[in-house]
Amino acid sequence: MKRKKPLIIILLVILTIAFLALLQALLMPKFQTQLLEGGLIADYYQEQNKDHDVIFIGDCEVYEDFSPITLWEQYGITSYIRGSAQQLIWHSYYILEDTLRYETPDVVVFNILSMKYDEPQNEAYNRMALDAMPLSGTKLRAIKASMTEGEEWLSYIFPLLRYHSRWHELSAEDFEFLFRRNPVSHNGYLMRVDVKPVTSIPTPRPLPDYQFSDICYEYLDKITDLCRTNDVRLILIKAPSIYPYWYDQWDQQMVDYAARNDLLYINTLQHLEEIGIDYDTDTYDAGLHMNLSGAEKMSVYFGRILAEEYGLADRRGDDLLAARWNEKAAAYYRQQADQYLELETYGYLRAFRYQSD
Amino acid sequence: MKSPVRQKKIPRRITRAAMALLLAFLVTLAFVACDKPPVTEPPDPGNSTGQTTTAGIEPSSGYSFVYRGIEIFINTPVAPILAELGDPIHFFEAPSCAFQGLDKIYTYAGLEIQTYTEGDTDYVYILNIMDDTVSTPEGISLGASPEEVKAAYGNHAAESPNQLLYMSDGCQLKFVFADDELVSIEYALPVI
Repeated sequence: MKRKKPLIIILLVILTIAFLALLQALLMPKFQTQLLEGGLIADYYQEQNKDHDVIFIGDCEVYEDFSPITLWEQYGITSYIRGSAQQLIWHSYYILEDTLRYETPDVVVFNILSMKYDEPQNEAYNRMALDAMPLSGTKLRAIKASMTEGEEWLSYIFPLLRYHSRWHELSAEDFEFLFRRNPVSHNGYLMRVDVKPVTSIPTPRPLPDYQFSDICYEYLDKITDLCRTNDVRLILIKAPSIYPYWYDQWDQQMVDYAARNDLLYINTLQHLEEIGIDYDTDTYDAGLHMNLSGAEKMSVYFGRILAEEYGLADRRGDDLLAARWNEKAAAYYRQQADQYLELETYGYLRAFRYQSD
Repeated sequence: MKSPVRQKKIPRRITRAAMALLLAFLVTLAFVACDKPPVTEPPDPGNSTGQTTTAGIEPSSGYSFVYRGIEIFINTPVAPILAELGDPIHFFEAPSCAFQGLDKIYTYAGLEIQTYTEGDTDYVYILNIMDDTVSTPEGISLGASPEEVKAAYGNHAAESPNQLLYMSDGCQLKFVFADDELVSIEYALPVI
């Protein structure tokens, strides 16, 4: 009996750890039926074939404004959007660093709106960017760079420390997706087909200082260097969102930065006609984000640049790859049809209706 | 029958250490982050940046702005104010990424009122004076010089290039200058 005691203790420890792991899996938000943006980062790690020509990094202005399916169907370019809600520039840098552990794309596209934020903003967005990232040195550095005041570093390593108080808000979703999850995006693109036209634009407020902060430039330099070291071409882009306002002074700084570093910078706000953006039909929230129609137009425009100016090859002739992407496209069109049906039935998309009714 | 392999006895101190470690983890679990809001709830109101403000604390009793005879304080429910002002010229709703309804902007002649939502109520978050047809109760309007602002509000401002910032009981009053000419007046919830 005495001899069995150590075994019992080891078994007890293993059972306790397993129980805590199960508890953590149960209590962590699933982002499967609501707040889908929270599931974007996890989607990438579920992707079987991590071999993309183009990787997008940035905030909602990438995951809402570009469609990888359109890039594939129109140009045979494979791409993935590693976006997350309010992804700040240090998030983007570490997400890129992490992505390069899995694959080396030909081109990285970075949306530069986050240059305006010079300090960590909010835990909710940190969680959406970092929780799903597998544990690595990159993740540890990302946590350190991102934490807001009062956050616990350890709670990113053991999320149970943060989420244990969710027990009273557990829903059917938490049990249904305890051991599995469905992708919420199409290679990082979060689809929305609804339309809310632009009717007015708030007056831009004069700022006391338009200079982007040193910390943002530091991370932009790091992104540029990381791409250079890995022989990846970097493109800077400003998506066609009309709010938050993109000041001319900010734009000039990006023009200058791109010139100094021999990068392509495209402010799509200056190419609206060429892209064909119609703010009556191509946005779902009055000009902040593109809807499906806007994202597809953006992708047709941007794909031409990738194909013609960056020489990215048309890979539609690769049968194996084509089969994979046809499958992805089928899921894309299924969701498109489902969303139109939902709009007809309810007048809105249920997954994006956050307010309590 | 004796086992052919003699099991090594785990020293008691290791057993105790393992138990203590587990206990410490469970205690940490019980106490860490208990008072924090769930991260699946909208972030605290901010100027569409998610910056943390003093929202939800209490109405400001500091600087106020008077528009069409109505005195408006920051962090007070906006509904009665809108009811008195009537329909705005423009209304703009700006959801932030992932969450909705954070910024609602009501535009009246010379004034923008931006709100945030807490529960079912919208509160005044920012008052932005847009042109020189309106002035502050202290008599300052767009076009004023830094000296005129200091003369009206005092010399206790936090001063930075092109900006004078006054704080008073839950209200941050920001004056922005370009070439020494006042180009923006903003009453807002203080950013923590």
